[in-house]
Amino acid sequence: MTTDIESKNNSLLSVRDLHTWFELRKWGFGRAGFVRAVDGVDFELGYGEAVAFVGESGCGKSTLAKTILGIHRPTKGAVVFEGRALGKLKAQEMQWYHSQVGYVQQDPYGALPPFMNVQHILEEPLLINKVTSKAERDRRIHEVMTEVKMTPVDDFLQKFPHMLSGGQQQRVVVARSMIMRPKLIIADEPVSMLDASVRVEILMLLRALQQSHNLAVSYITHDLSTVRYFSERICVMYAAKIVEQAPVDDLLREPLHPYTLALIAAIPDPDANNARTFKEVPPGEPPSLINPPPGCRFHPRCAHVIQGLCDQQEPPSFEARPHHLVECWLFK
Amino acid sequence: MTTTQSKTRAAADSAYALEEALRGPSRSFWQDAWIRFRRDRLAITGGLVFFFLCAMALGAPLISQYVTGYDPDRINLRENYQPPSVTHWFGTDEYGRDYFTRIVWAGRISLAIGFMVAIGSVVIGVALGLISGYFGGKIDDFLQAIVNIVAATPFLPLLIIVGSLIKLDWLGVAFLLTILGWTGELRIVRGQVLSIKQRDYVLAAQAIGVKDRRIMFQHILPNVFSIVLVILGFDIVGAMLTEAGLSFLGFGVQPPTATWGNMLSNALSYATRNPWLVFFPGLAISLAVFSIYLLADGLRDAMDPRLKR
Repeated sequence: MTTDIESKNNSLLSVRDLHTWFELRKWGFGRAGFVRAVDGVDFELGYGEAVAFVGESGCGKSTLAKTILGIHRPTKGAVVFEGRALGKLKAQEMQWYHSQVGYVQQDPYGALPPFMNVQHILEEPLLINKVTSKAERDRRIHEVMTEVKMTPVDDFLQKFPHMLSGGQQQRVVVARSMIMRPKLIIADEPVSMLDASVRVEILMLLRALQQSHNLAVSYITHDLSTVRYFSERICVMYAAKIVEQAPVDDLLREPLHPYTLALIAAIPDPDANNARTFKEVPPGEPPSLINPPPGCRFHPRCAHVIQGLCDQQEPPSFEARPHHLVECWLFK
Repeated sequence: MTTTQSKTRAAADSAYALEEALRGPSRSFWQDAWIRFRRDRLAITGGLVFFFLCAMALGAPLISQYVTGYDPDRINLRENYQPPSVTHWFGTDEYGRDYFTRIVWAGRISLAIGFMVAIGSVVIGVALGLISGYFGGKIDDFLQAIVNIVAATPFLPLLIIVGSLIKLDWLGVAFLLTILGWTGELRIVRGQVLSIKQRDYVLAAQAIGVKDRRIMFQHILPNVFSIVLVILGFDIVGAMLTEAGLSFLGFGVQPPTATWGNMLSNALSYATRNPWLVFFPGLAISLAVFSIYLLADGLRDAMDPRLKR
């Protein structure tokens, strides 16, 4: 297929029909079913491109990130990095892959081992990637610490994580993810645990690093208001699937999927009158991922549901506008 | 940069410099731990008492040769039941043996049993607990099955059977206590590992590509370490007390080899007429127990960098 060859040539990461299911064990043997945390996700990420994943808690964003990172094994489908499928890499190539993909987590204090100082934390990726010369390791630690603006570097190297402020901790996390000069950073809600004042700083730092190193970033968030700072494209996730995919401006200007509409309508705006009014939100709760509803997963809550279609068949991906994909029968 | 910004930045910088000056230069982990430990008076006291007991036990031959001049097992019926005096510091027992010399020698066996059982069961428990908790799944099921079997083995009947088949010396008792004693350690460590392996920094290490063994030893073990230290203290004490209880029932280390436990149980028959025979072994056991607890607790606090003031 032509699209396949194309994707091999100019995309860094391509995720195809990815399913990550977790088995629910019953009585230690038989199984009670599966939690379908990621259930058929497709997307492409080019070199130096930033994509945001948006969705509420429990929609599978973090599981998707962890599957891409190789922490979880996909049940079905493939993660292809620079034309190589993840499942087929040998141990050594896997090590190479880990060095090419950085991981920035949500809670900076939790993400740093409490018994290691900054020097040890940053040295670890270098050690396991066999950078044997001590001088070279020190040089790279200084370089990356300067890049994340933790200067003077020597003041911080002997500090333990609990001695740093939240923003500094997150800078160390970013430094750790950057130290092997990766091509891709997966940022899983990198600023949601930080103070509002530090948030923008960290986002600007990530953006600056992304541009100076031509990094691809997949930015996972539940906060649509920070997306515009950061990415070129948005994927909206709902109940383990990507329901809408579009360039940032298009999506924010003209959201198509009913769920995206609801999501954007739910962004709070600072207006005193809000105290007296109620926002329209879709009724009900997100579905159980153990036993998702048939057809479109949003149909039980959707105002535009087409009886006999939406509740029967899963919608495929329609290209409703140029580069604007939406999984909804309304755009057949 | 506006003036207010640069002002706050300058203020922050000077505050930071001040803090640095107050705290002094950065120190290594072990230096820090030592400084914290030194501040802890109780732990220092515990450490000194414990060190003193160990030194006494190790130097037992020297003490009986140069200090007291008695052989711990030499019977002298003419001098039995003597109360503490200048010639017999802790008095003598029913066979006229010098009680202080016997306490010193008994410390050797009691402490040795305590250490061997504690270290043995902690090593087994921690190693298997790490594996069981970290890998989970089938490995975990398998190890848990073994743990349940071992934990369900009734200790006393087994000891009676083994004891009637072969004559147990103190090494045999220590060995039996170890192979039946590691299950509690494994369960505690496994529980800790189960919670720690879900933490973000373990996921981060996996995402970097750190090997399982390195994650277990470098990322998880340090967090379990403080608990392991406390368990180690408990185990030394526990093994000493179990040995004492066994001796009381007649299954532990047999006379004439003295342990604090069998001296205590033996002395109970004479408790009303010769209370010092009960008092001194009891004092030795209590001192050992207290000092080990205090020491273990202090070490635990000292090795946790988060507890730094």
